[in-house]
Amino acid sequence: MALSDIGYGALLLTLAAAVWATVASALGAWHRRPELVTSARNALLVTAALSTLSAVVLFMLLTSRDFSVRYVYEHVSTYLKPAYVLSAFWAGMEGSQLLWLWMLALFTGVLVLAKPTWDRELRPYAMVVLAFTQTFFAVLLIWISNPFELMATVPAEGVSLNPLLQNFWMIVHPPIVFASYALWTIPAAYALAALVTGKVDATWLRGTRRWTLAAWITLGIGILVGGWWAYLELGWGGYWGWDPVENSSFIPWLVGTAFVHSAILQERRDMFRAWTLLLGVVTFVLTIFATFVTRSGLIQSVHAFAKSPIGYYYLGFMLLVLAGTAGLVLARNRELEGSGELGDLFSREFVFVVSNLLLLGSAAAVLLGTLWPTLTGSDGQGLGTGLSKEGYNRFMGPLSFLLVLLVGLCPLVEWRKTTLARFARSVWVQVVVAMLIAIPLLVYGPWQPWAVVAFSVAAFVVATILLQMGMGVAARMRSAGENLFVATSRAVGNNRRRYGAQLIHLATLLIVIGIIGSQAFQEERQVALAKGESVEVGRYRLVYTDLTYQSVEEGGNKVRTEAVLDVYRGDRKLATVTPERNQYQNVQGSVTEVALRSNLMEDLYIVLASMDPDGLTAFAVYITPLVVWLWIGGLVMIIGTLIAAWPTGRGAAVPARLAVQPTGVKA
Amino acid sequence: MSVILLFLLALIAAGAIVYPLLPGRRAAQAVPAIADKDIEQAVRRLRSTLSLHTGQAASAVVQSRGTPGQAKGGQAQGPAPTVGVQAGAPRCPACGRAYRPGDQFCVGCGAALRTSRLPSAVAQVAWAGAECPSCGATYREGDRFCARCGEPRTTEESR
Repeated sequence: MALSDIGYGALLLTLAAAVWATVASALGAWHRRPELVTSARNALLVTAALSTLSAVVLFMLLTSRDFSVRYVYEHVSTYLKPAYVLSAFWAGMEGSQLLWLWMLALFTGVLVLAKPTWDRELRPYAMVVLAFTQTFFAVLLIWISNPFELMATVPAEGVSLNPLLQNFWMIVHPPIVFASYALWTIPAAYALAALVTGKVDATWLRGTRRWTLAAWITLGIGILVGGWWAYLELGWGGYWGWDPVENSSFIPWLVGTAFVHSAILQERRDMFRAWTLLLGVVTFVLTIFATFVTRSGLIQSVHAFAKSPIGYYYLGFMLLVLAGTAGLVLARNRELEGSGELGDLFSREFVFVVSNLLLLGSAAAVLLGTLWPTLTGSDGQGLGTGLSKEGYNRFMGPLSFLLVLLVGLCPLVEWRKTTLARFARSVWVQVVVAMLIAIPLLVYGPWQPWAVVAFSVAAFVVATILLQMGMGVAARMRSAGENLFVATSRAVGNNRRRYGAQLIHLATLLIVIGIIGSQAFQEERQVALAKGESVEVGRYRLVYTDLTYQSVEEGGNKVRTEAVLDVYRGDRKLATVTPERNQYQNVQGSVTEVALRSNLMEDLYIVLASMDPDGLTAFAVYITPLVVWLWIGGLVMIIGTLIAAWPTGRGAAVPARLAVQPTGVKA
Repeated sequence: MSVILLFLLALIAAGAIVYPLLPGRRAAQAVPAIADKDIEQAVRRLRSTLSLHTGQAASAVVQSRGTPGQAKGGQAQGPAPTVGVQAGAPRCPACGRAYRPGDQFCVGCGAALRTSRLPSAVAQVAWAGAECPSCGATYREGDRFCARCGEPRTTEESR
């Protein structure tokens, strides 16, 4: 009798229930047998409960350091701090997949617990997809990467967790990302349900809108938290390195963003039905791909891919979903024709289409860049050369530049058609603002031209968004005589989607400004100092005062070394900071903990690079302007999404777009 | 021990899954997902809404501007004298202005209206003139907010 048996047994039962849920909901939907659908619903609640049990068991095994289980042996040790047992849960392939299954089962449980309303007809089919995905993960967990696999002999000590992952943000980052992956399954499930039933109008989009927004914002925040972790832990002064793991979560975000916008286009103008559906499904497939890439070692080495059959399972599942979707799309060709037409080139529809293409183009390019080493390492031995960071920046720079420009142009261009005169009337203020930003930068700054252009475009877009929001509020103040506060809250309350979206776009711009600032103007200084010496970096003066081999921790596994520096600006002492470099026995290497001082203008970031025997200590000092706006942008993005998704007490706050175009207006 | 626990769990799970399939339950659930009476009720509601709208719209179609701020809760108090609007026309709960059938938002103050989302045929005819930059609906004369999406009308259009 062992705890791990219970975990494994719970997985087996989960699989059985998931298989039954798939079959029963499919049969029930097809033959219109509600009792089968109810049975499937109960089976899905069973998988939610049992996968929870399985997850709890794994957590208990990790906490109790039961080294008879391989996953526990590989990821924790007796000296690992208790908090990091959580990150150990999702540090490996097995745990991550269990997390995926668990999240998916929980969200599915929430979904099926709610009474069917608009989705009375679609839900049984959506349940098929959700149950089938659960089946897939349960099969993997049971046969391919079993987290409860036992060791032949029980070791006395575990390998422990990679020290890089021993960081608070690595406790929260993976669950956020996997939660978003699981959430993306829901819109995809309904997209397929819409295809099967032929109900491909915007009903399914409206019904799943909150799930989609939740998935979208969770993924964005997950990516940002990952960047924040990299910034704190990797010690090279950056937050994004275009490495395969980062890319693999960024690709579904790009496609998911395209999906969100395409959904708006379908809802408003009844266009691109098939396109929207496909984007929903593809985003889901890409999250599966991301899980696979992140944890299977496909990118790190083709060898790893060939060694374990897990890659073929993933590939098979993705191909099955894509082929099924393609077949259904072909079969539903007639229903998928919307009533809207693209119309004028100078219209909002067209801006949406172009932005969609840009987002997908970026996704395709990043995907290709990520897979390139694998694809070119043809002999299964070595890897081809990957795309460098500069390589990615070279195409992602211009693509994101165009996208940002479109964010600014979109509100100025109207649906169907915009006259040039009207456009010019609404654009001149922002152009003036952009010039006012650009000219002094050009004249006074030692700035690269691309950065000046980027900043002035950002200013243009921010001005557009603020003007748009301001105009709505001002119109209310004027016409209804409300004060600023009342007018703002009523304007937002009456049109949450619009103002939420504008806030999200504003947040995107804050992030863009953070990226431009940190990419263009980062100052880096490498110095070797003896005690008492100082160095000037930017406006700061750093005085190196002491080095302490402070303590031996984790039962001898970790030796912490701390340097002490006083930070001055002019003669004023701002702070004492202590960058660390810690030696870890279990990985035979050292990991830095950076010292960070952040304000709205710039970050001072100090890495303890090395301690030389001759008494000199090497530091890498980075001054990164505006980088904090990345994280602020993330917070604003959350607020914007909450506003856009917030349920309203009143009847028609999310106005239903009229299916019939008013007469007197050419649709 | 763990075998017993798993067996119990399996038993509970099987019970939950099989229960809806029991013969006695099947009869109870065999009714269609939407009962006929639900459909009938919905149709009746729809009919009454439609006829109500067309009836009102006949006189309200050309102009139905009320005065903002007038007659708070006018709907409950009964007809308030407003030019061009039939007595008993629905009024915005926030500012008391009469609204036209099919409007989602009050054109006077922008408040969301709890109306039927069905635009009546007559209401559609009334759409004419400049377009809302947000949703593409057409403003009617005198509207300060878009009746469809609540977007405030910009200055030049509203004058």
